[in-house]
Amino acid sequence: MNLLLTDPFSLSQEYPENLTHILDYGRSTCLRFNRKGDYLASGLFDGSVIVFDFDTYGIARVLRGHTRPVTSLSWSRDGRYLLSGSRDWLCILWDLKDGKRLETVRFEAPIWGAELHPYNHQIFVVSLFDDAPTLVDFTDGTIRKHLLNDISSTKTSADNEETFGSPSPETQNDGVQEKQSTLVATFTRSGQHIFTGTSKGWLNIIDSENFQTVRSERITTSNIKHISFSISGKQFLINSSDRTIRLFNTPDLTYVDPSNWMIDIVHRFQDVVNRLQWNSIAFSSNGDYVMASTYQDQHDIYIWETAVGSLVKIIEAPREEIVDVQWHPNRTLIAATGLDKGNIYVWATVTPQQWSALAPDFVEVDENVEYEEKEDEFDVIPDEIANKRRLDQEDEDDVDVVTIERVRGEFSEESFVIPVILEEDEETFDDSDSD
Amino acid sequence: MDLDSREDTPASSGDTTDSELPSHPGEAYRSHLPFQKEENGQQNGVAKTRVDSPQYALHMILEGHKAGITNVKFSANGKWIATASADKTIKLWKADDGEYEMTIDGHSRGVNDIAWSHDSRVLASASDDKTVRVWDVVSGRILRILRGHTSYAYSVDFSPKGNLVASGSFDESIKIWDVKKGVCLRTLPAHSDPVSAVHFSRDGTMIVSCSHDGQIRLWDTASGQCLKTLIEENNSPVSNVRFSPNGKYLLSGSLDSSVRLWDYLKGKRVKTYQGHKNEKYASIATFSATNGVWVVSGSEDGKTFFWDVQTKEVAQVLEGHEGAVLCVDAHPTRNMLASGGMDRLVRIWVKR
Repeated sequence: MNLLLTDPFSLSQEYPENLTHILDYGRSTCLRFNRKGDYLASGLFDGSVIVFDFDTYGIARVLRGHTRPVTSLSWSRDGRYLLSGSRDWLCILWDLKDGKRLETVRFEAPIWGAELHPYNHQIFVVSLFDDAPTLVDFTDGTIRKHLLNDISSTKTSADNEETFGSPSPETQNDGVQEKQSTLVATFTRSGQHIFTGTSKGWLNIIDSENFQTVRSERITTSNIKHISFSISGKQFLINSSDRTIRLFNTPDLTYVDPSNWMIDIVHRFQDVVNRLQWNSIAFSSNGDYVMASTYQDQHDIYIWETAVGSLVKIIEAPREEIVDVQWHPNRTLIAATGLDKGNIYVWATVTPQQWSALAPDFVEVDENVEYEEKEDEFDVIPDEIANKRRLDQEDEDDVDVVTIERVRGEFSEESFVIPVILEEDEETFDDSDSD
Repeated sequence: MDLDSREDTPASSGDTTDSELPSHPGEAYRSHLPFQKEENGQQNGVAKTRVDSPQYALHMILEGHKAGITNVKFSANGKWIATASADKTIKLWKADDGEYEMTIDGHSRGVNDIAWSHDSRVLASASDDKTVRVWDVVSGRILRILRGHTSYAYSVDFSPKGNLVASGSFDESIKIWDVKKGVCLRTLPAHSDPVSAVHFSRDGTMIVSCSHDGQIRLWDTASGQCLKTLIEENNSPVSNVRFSPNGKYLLSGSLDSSVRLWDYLKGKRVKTYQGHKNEKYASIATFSATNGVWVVSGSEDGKTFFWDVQTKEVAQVLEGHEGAVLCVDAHPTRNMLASGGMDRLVRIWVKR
């Protein structure tokens, strides 16, 4: 509701400039905002998950269950449930209402990443270390695991020599199954398909209903480290170990024949000079920008814009390498977590006070304005007449004080509010847990 | 509206408060001055012939406070009525039958304002002892004491999510508190006179405040910046302000016996409701939206006024309180209204 009164100039700021907060609660390894952006979940190296209240920058929930570093986090659509995956081979679905576990699912390998279905918090897809990705469905109460056997089917399309990106694609050994594993798996925005990326640079598109790989495409020859969809789902990014981030237009997956799906590369983002590796990638809230954190010595976050693909900003991070970056879903704000200390850094735009807001008769002008006195401006009018005049000015139109209107640009969906627990005996998070 | 007058209006000057209670501005403003004799029936004949009237009648009386009632609030789930009083206590009553539940005791001076959290389990209170306190209403235990105001805490409100509390004080500032940590997140140098009311918008992104300096200001909760200022030309002290149920308008009460409705986006007053008397106390005006939409406010002549939001005409006048009616609140879902006054009583009115 504050948007209509906020300075339009500050709203038009496209990317943040200032480091505004440093959250120092344990050693954070991954971050996720909920859809509304009022909570930020942080997975810790010691296996805890902390949910920050972004109104107060305080802790809303501490979730303890994992014993090894948390590798991934995923919020349900309504913000009530949070899925965490860890190197301890477990995925835990948390109910944030009381901070209890709703489900614990054990796998045979450490978890690379786990993501909830965008519309059903009882279905998630998980990518595992050296194992096939799995879709887990416990909608009817029992846990069903469906192996997504995407690797075998890549063979059939291995004849397709066309590769994206790499200037000298490796020659394929026709018919010979390459040893590769799936590193990432993510749902499309509709949840009807799953995109997976393999260690040999294949992008596989899997139908999430019948678990069949419907399309495979070789994007590069090296590891696909991340696949990330924009909030609208119209574009997606692939970050691979060949030091290149590729931006694609999402094909129209409603076409019946998957071979007609056009996987168009839009831009390649790379640092040609330093040949940097990219730790993590993310879209901006409106999809107009892409950002990536850099590997090792340079502690930077690069921001490119997606229309022409040019680099617009390099944010220097303080002192430590950035492992995970997240863009706030509806504000110009970036959260990132450092590798060494695991602090969470928050960059945001700082709005200057509009001085005219403090006095209604004042306006901010760019140039000097010649003052012209109105005819009756300083006339002395008796109170009663002035009062009557003011009342006469009121329009007699009906006002609606009850009906709630939607304002453009505002997140108007129902979003779960984590109950604030004020009891003294509640578990409080101890700072000494870090490291 | 002489603020210093609180010193020379000791409790003994009126028969409405116990003389052993210390004098404090909550009393001076809301509960303490001698009765005004009812001068004239100000609204002759109104509400008698109108067809569309809220048609409320007295249902019950809650009796127990030892001094004037400074505020009355229904809980968000509609089950409870909380009352704050100059007798330093807060009392809880069942909304169904008016049964007395408990007294919350702890403030060392009169309580000026109370606010329910959205889950109806926590209550915040502002007092002349300069503290804002947060209470668990199930056990009556104190959960947090928010210290920091340098003068009387006069108004308080919970954010819709229950994670923030805003308070306005005679020290002319607004403080925004992190309830969980119990610390002040931000102090807004809001006004140049005591802050008489604070209220969160429906989505919690804005806070509206008003002050005896005659201004109504809107604040961005996250950044603490002033977004807009509204001033009525005659500069009369504003004693009360709140958002409309949909958050598009503001309802303010000022000490020129006027309740005003503002379109804050246009910065314009759209309606003025008059007929009642409000010159001394921070009388509270609110909306009643369960049975048609009305503006409701107490009056210093012991009456409670209903106005038609659109026509600005008085739709009904409830009589019964002796002395000023300082606070009114409408039940969130049922056709029920609570009014509290200097006569230490809370009257519950329901639709006939």
